[in-house]
Amino acid sequence: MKTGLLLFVSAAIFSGTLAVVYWFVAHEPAGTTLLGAMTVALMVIVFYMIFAERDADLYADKENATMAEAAGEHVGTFITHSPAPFWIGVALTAVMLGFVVSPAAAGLGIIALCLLGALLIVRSR
Amino acid sequence: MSAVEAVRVTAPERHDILSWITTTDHKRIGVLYMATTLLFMAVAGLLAIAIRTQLARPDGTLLQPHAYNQIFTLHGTAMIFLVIAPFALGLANYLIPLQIGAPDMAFPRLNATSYWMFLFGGLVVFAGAATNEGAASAGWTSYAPLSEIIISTGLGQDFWIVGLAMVSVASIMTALNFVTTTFILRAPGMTMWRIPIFTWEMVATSLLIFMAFPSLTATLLLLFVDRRLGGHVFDPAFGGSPILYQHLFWFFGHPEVYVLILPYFGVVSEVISTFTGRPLFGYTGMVLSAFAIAGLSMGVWAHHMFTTGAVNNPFFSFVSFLIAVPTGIKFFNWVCTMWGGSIRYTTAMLFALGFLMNFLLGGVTGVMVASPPLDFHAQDSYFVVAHFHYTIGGGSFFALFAAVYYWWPKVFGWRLSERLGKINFWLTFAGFNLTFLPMFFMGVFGMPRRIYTYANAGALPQLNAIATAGAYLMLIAAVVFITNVVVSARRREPAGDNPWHGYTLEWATSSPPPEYNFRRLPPIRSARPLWDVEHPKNAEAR
Repeated sequence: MKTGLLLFVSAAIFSGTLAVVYWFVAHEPAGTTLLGAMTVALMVIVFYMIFAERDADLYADKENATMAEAAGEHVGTFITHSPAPFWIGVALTAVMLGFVVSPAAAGLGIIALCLLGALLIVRSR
Repeated sequence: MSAVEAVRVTAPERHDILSWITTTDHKRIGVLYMATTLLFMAVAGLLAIAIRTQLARPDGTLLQPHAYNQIFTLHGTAMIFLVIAPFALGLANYLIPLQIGAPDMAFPRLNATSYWMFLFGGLVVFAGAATNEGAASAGWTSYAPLSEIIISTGLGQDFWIVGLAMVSVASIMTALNFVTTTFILRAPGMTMWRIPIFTWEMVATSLLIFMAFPSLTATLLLLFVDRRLGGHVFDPAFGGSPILYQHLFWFFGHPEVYVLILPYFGVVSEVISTFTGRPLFGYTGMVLSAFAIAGLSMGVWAHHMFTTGAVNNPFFSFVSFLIAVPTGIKFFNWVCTMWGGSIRYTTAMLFALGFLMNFLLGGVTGVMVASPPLDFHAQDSYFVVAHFHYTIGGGSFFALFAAVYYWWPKVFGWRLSERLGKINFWLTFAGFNLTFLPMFFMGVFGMPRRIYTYANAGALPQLNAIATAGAYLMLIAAVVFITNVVVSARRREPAGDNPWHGYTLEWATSSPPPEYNFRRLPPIRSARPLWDVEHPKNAEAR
């Protein structure tokens, strides 16, 4: 995780520096705002990694870790099938196309998305 | 039992259509991505043939101007947003968990959702062609005010906007999955500095997607507001700014070029390393150069806007020149990897070598147009078309086929014919250079891009005829590739688990891999764990 954190910290410092340099060189607000927003977004990830993942202790980060040592480590639950993604895709398409051709289709899509979301929450409990 | 072996195994694998629609297995999603992009590529390729047929003679009558505009818009949009980048996402979907010893992606459902959003988004873009005034026709950049409702009145432009918005959000979700998977789900001992170079390049690509794609989504949203909700964001008559559109678009658009190429740098690195039988020269330098390219690419967007007179040309020119440094490091490392190696000229290796030659020409001409005085001359001419195609066509497209030939045995368990593969390569290589090399000269002679006809003057008719002949040669190469797939599928020559003697982790499992990828993992003590197992006395462990 240290390497990952270093990566995002470096990216945030680089983009912040670029934003400042760009402003003083070009005095151009659009690009400066974009670079500034990018820096803020990267900082959000940095803070997440510092505070939420600070206790992460991965066998992957140990150079001499063996498979046997890692036995029993919970790496996650990986389902192989779910109908939800396909239907989320269909509903989102209805929403997006609805904005162009028919507000009713967009409404139906939004309702379908809400139902799918509720169903996923109920099933995950 | 290891962490990976400990993953619960559920019911036997299903292979019916419903199982493909509902799958959340990263390998199947990867295959779906790659198959979809190859289909989109076929359509976009045929559109390119239509363009070249129209331009074969100065007085071409195959297409009318509006149809021509729609065709080059769809060709560019499809190749950039629906083929080259998503193929890499599909390949990474398939490979990242295998290369780092993970059972799946960190968020399997999100992964599948990304795919369906990409597919439906792409279909929506194409569906614009079925509307009254046809598909979008403002080019893949869709500059305002050309794409505003006062000029592009049809629904096709709106379909283009909402379709690409879906593709953009899907890409961000996929990048999130890649980074989380790589950071969290590596197998024991697979430290960050041991992960294969392809995975590193995908982490750099994901970082770029995080930084650049939100700008695309915002641009599309603002354009939609202008078109459908009465906004005037890009309308100068009401205080808006078309230049703002260019800033927003290119803040995404230039990093996108590196989203299109960085994954394929990874592919070429893997292929060259395997077929020279040597570890990649300068692994650390390759990783750092990928991030240097990613970082610098965020500071060069306005080199596409030199001629507007509204940007600081020296700043953007200087940063654009700087990108040549990390790219050069990669080139030297590839050459040094091959230097003294025992090279096997397989089809995948030939495509990788083709990549090196073509991309070099694309890169060098990129340095040329990074210089404002030269760019003022080349802007909007066929010189830029040639430069871009040598970068993404000669670069990414060739590496894409290197990837197809290299990992095909792992994905399907059987090989593609090497004989037909080599014919495919040479036809593609010859066709590609015949098509795009003349375009440099067309540009120098002043032929503008995005025109459906041109003056019968100088060498332009001859150069265009040569380019069209090259395009048809590439079409024949595509037919050879399809023939190869069909013939090889009938033969089904078993490939074995590690047909190329690769040393990264994906070659340690069966071909095709089982659900959750690995029954057993070798000890991981370097970036080439299989080499360490096979050559314990010369292990690279570090």
